[in-house]
Amino acid sequence: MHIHRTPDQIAADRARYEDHQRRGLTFAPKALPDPSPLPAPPPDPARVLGTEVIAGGWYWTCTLTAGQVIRVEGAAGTSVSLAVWAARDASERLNLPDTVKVQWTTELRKGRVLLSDMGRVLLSITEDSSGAHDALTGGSSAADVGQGVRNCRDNMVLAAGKLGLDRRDIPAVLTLFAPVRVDAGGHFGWRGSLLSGRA
Amino acid sequence: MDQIFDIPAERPWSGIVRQGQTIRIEDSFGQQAIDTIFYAAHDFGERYSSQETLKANGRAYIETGAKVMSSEGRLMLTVTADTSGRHDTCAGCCSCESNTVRFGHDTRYLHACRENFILELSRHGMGKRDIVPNINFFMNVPISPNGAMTIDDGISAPGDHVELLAAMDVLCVISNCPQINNPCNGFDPTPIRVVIRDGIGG
Ligand SMILES: [Zn+2]
Repeated sequence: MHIHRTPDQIAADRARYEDHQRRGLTFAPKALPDPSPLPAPPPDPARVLGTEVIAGGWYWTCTLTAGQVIRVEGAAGTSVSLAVWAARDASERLNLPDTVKVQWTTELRKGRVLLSDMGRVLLSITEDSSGAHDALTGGSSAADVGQGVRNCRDNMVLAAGKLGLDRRDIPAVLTLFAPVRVDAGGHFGWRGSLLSGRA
Repeated sequence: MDQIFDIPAERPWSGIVRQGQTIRIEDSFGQQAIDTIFYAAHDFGERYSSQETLKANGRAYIETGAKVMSSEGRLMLTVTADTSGRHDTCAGCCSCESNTVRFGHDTRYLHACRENFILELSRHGMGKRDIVPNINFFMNVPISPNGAMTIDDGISAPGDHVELLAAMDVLCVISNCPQINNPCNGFDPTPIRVVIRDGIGG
C-alpha cells in the first residue's frame, strides 16, 4: 500500500531524534541564565533611542534594526501581547509553534529566542525578570471582553492595518506577563504565583 | 452520498465541507500526523485560530467535544467523534527551515508540510502568509506543567479517526505530514483517508 522505510533507516532517525530530545529537554534548561533582577537597572540615558508609554488597552508599533534592544515594562497586573514581522518582508513573521517546538519548551524566558516561520531568530530574550509569559493561548478578543471594550485582536488588526498589512498577516501572539500554564491534566490555568516577584 | 478522498503519503489535499456536513479524517495505517487548517469558505480572511481554540476549550489538546474556532472568534466545527484521544494544535507544521534549525542542515531538502501547504493554498489564491498554526490530528505533543514540550510516539492505531461537524461552510486544507525526523509519523509516512458526509455519524 505504501513504501515502507527500512528498519535501519527508521532506527537511525529515531536514535537521532532521541539524542536531540535529550539535549533539548534535559541539557538545554540547565544552561539557561538566571532571571534578570527586579527592579531592572535603569538604562543608560545616552543610549535610549525612544520611550513610549502605551495607554491601557491600546496598541503601538515600532521598527527595530538588528542589534537594537526593546525593553517592555508592564505595570503590575498588565499583560502585553506581541506580534513580530521581519521589516524587509512581512510574510516572514513570528512563529510561536516553531519557537516552542524547536526549543522544547513553551516557557519562554531569558536565554530563549523568538523564531520566524523561516527558521530565523527575530528577537532574543536578553533580559527577563518575569519568565511568566504565554506562548500558547494568545490575547483577548471581543468575545472575551464584550463589545465596546478594546481588545487585543482588534488592536492587532489596527496595528497591522497601519503598517499596510491586514488580518491575514496577524500571527499567533506572545503574551508577556501572562502566567498561563498547562496542568498535569491538560487544562490551562493562570498560575499567578509566577508573577509574585513583580507585585 | 459520501465523498471519499484517499490522500497518498506526504501529499496535500483540500476540499469544501458544508455547514451541517461531517468530515471524517482517518489515520488509515496509524501513527500518522495530519496537519490541517480550516478557512471560512466564503471569506478566507477568516481562518482557524489555534489561540482562539485553545482559549475556548481551556485545554491544551483537541479532543471529542472540542470547539474549532476561527480568527473572528466564531465556531467553525465541533469534534463529534474521536477514536484516538489526543490531537495537537500547539506545535505547528514542519518546514524545511525549521527542520534545518532542529535537526541539522542535511535535512534542508526533505519534503515538509509547509511545502504542501504553500502548493495547496496557491490553488485557492492564498500563499505563505495564510499558513496559520494548524491542528495536528493524531500527533502526540504532551506539554508538561513546567512548560516542557516534546513530540512523542503517536498513539493512533490503524483506522483511528476523528469526525468534525461543520458549523459554517469551510475549506479544509490538509498536509499529510512527510516528516521523518521525529516520531510523529512513526518515521514512515502513510496514506490517509477523508470522508465527507451529510449530518453526524453514519
Ligand atoms: Zn509535517
